[in-house]
Amino acid sequence: MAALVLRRFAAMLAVLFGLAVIVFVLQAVIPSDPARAMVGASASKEAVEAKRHELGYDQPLPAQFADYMGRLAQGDLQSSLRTRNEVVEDLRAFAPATFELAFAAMFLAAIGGLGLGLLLAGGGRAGKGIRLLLIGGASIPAFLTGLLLIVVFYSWLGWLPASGRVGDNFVVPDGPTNFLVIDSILNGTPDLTIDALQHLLLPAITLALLPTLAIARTLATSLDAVQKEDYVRTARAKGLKERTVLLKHALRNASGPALTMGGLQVGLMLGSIVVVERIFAWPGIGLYIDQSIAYSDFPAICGATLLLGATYVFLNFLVDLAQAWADPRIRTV
Amino acid sequence: MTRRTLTLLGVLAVGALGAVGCGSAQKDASSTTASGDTQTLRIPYLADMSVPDPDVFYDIEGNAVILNQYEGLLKYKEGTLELAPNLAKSWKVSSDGLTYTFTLQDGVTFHDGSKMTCNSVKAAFQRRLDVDQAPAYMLKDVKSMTCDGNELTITLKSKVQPFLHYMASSWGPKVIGPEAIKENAGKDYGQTWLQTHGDGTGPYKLTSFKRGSSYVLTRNDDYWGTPANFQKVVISITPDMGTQRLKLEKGDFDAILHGFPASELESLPDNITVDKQDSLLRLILYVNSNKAPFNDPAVRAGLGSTIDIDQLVEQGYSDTAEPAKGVYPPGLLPGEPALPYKVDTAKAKAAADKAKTKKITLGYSADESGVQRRVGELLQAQLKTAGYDVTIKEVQLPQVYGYIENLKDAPDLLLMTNTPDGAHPDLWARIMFYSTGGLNFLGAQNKQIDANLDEALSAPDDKANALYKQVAQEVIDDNQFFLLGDVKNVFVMSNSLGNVQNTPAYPWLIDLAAVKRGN
Amino acid sequence: MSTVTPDAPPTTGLTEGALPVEGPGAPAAAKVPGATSKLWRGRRPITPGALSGDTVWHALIPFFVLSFVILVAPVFAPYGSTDVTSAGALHAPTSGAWFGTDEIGRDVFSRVLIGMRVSWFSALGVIFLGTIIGGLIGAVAGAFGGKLDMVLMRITDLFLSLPAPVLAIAVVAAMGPSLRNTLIALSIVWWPWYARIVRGEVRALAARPHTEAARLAGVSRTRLVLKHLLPGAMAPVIVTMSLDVGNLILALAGLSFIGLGAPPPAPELGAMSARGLQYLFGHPWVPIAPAAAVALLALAANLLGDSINRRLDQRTTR
Repeated sequence: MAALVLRRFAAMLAVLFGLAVIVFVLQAVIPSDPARAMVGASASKEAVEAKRHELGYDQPLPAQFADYMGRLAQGDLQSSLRTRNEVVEDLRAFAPATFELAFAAMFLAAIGGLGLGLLLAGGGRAGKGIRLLLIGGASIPAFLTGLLLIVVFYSWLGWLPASGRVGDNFVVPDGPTNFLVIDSILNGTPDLTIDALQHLLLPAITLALLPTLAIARTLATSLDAVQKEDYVRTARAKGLKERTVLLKHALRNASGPALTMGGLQVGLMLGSIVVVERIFAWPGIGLYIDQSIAYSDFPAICGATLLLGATYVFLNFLVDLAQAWADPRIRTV
Repeated sequence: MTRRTLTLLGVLAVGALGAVGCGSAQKDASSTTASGDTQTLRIPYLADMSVPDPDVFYDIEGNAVILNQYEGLLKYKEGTLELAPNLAKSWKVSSDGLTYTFTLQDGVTFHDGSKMTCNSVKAAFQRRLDVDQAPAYMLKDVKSMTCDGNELTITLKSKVQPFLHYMASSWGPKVIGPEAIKENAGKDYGQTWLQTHGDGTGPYKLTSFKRGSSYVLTRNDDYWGTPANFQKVVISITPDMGTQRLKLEKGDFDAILHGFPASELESLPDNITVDKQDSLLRLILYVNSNKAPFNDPAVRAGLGSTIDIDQLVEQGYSDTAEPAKGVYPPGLLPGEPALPYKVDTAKAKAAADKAKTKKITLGYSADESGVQRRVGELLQAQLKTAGYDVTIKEVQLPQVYGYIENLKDAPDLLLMTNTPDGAHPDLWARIMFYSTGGLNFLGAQNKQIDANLDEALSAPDDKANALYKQVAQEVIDDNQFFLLGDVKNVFVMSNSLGNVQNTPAYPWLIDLAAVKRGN
Repeated sequence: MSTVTPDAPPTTGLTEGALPVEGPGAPAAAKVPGATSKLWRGRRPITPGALSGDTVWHALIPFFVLSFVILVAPVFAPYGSTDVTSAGALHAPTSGAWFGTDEIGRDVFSRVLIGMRVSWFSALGVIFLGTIIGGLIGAVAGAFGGKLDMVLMRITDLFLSLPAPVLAIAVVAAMGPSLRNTLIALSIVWWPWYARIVRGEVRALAARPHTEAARLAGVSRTRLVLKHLLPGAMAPVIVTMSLDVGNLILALAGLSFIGLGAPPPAPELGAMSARGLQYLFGHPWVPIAPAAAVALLALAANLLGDSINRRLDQRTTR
């Protein structure tokens, strides 16, 4: 197991290096001029040149790359053109909101995927109907889902807030986790917890919809497969209750592919996070990217890409380990 | 495809349409009362501001945070383009226009409690020069600043016609508390600290700055002037206009100060008022005279007969803008020559036939409300009638700044909305039409314009005005710029707000200290 | 409950794609194992060569029919995509303009029809580009093996290990938004899936006796790949492709929604709904019609992909 962890860890580092290379290549091809954008419209040519020199854009590419990797190693992602802040600082401020939202969505997707998957695996008419619903659900673009939820739950029913992370009459605690729901529980402010949960619900559902369906689908197929395996037949033949067979024997063995799918879905979720955060004004990395796109703020976009990419790589590293731990067959490969 | 799947398709489509359709029908339903307390004013921003540092900030979105926190020596009188006292209660200009003496208000304190003195003003102005970002140009010609009691004397190296307007500009030099800057100076004159804090003299203090979510301004109870009516102003970043509108209708926002689509104004419920006010914002079409086809003056001139300005403005803006009448924003230069453009299809075609190429590109800058895209698309259709094949593309500001480096690759036409830094002809002409002007994005060159503007800078007022009029005539004759529209401020507000005041030179902003709940 | 539900597909790797997976980069079967291929080595997803070419083409017929309908539908559009109608701006739907007019008076119905064609064929374009690039790389890697295989697959794995949509956003943001750049960006993040599938198929086929026989008979390597190996990899690739269309339509719409798609006045559905959102309350048809069209297209693609997948899959196991 230790050897496997080490191998996977090395592979993860290699992938992270690859990610850094890809981002550098992108940075090298941008058409707009970050130096001029930084010094402003009325700056002189000399000021632009000076800034370009300061940023190192006047150097040959290999030197720029060495410089870039050096800065990356020190956790320096340059300054945002828009906020004039270190991108690292900006990401630190925006990331907790995104992680909180993503965790909530993953939680919903896991629960929903499990439930739907079990229903779907049951087969028969119910399973068929759900299948079609899943296809339908998987065809709705995230912006339409988000919009419908806002119109129904904010505009019509008035049950849930439409945007933001917390009502503005609350004092937001600083830490320790920067997850509002958890911090407010730790600080013993139940009002804030409820408010934060209410704000969290609609964007989390929008984000969770597609992963839920994908996980349900994968789980159902592998459940059906596992049901045909000898040990399940044996269990059934022993006269165990159908539910016991399903939950105790089949589910555990069928969870591998669903877990992998869950890991994969995180990547897709990170992609739609820009759309969802924009619609719900959720102050996270997605909104940061959205605003940075509008400003051609490429250092910020690169930084956010690096962060999201690294997060995804790391999560899948964990998924790999979890699977290896759950399924001894993998360990021997 | 089976019949069942087809049915399902239908049901889903109808369901989706129905749900949203009904949502929109709901708009007339009685709105619930404001969820917040009446002591808080809530407004949205479509995007984060850059930084709340008056010596760096050079955008429009964000001026509510700057102008309510900080004050300059002068300001514009409400609803006009006239200069009025602010931190300086009076001012004198020497006859040679080189020496300005400002008498400062007494009893002004900064938000940190320290007293404002003449030296604080001096220190703040010096910081602007030290920080040396875009707005620093306003003080570049200062030779010396001396203090005598509460009198600040500024001596210029050479005469600067619009100097007093710099002092009143939205982006003009502001007075920042010197103690706070000194304490938090770091290595960058306190720029890092000012990214999330502030210390001014204005009616509100910045009490929270959470990028991406909200900025909170709290009333300055020790304000030297009339204190603000609201106890708090909360500015929430809400990038979606649909959400902004829903929240306004529900009472979760009190006002949307810009970006509201003109065509949707009519569909607003009764509890919302719309207030359209003059601004200095102008819609401009730049012509790239550095390459074919518009390097030929005759071809450029044909554009004046091609573009139907009335149609552009009416269809693009409904009645939230007016067709431009002159080269300068309205009110800046009385008696300036009128714009002569008139649609004449025959002339337009004749000029276009001389063009070396009819394949042209039209760039427009991205704006949240999409109005420039709309105008761009209308313009595309108009140019088509003259025979041009127009490709249009959305461009972003940093790209636009880069055009000057390679004008051959820049678009042939560029649509932008700009505003002068203040209500003085020089502040408009110099950035727009001067060959090295900051907003002269397509590198228009006209030696006569440069010479006239330089001469006007140190000329007596009468002479200067005559020169500014000549500049206007040259802009018209040269056809490198087409002034299209004068864009209004559109304030969409809850009826519960009263005493709404604004100043044309401060775009997208109402006076947040004056506004109150109830009439 | 019966032990085997007749309706539920049995487990080959492929059936894991029985329902489409949303978003870029997770279409068929092969993808799930593909993502963590190291773990799944030895568990091959499909029996190669079990599908005849005819079966595949038959299964694809509805797809071609739908593509043809989408291709010719704009012929019946009453207006061009940028024509301004006489009805004026933001006119409500009438019998003449079924979906009303947009903010500058263009016919929304016509624009949606044309936009559907753009979306559909853009999605197909990305898939074909991805298949060609990925297929070539996969075929080369699979056929030649050795160091080349290792290097190519390492690169493929790198892309597979990164979140495709996030990369696509960064790529378009870097190159500047345009339809072409968006398609390039999506192809860049899409090909690795196909490379992996094709490589797997080719390797498996290469190990089979008849390939061995052909090689002994002196058939050249290139010919071997083109004539024997690639055709065998067709079926799983086509299934994956068909399941991908819906994902790509959504991915494209998502990118253009955040301003990274075709610039105006192109009738791009995602951009049309994003730009139309501000009219949602006064003139709801402007954003709703294109958004519903995206959902409709994706739904049609997903249903078809699902049926193709199940048909091909049932043949293989029956």
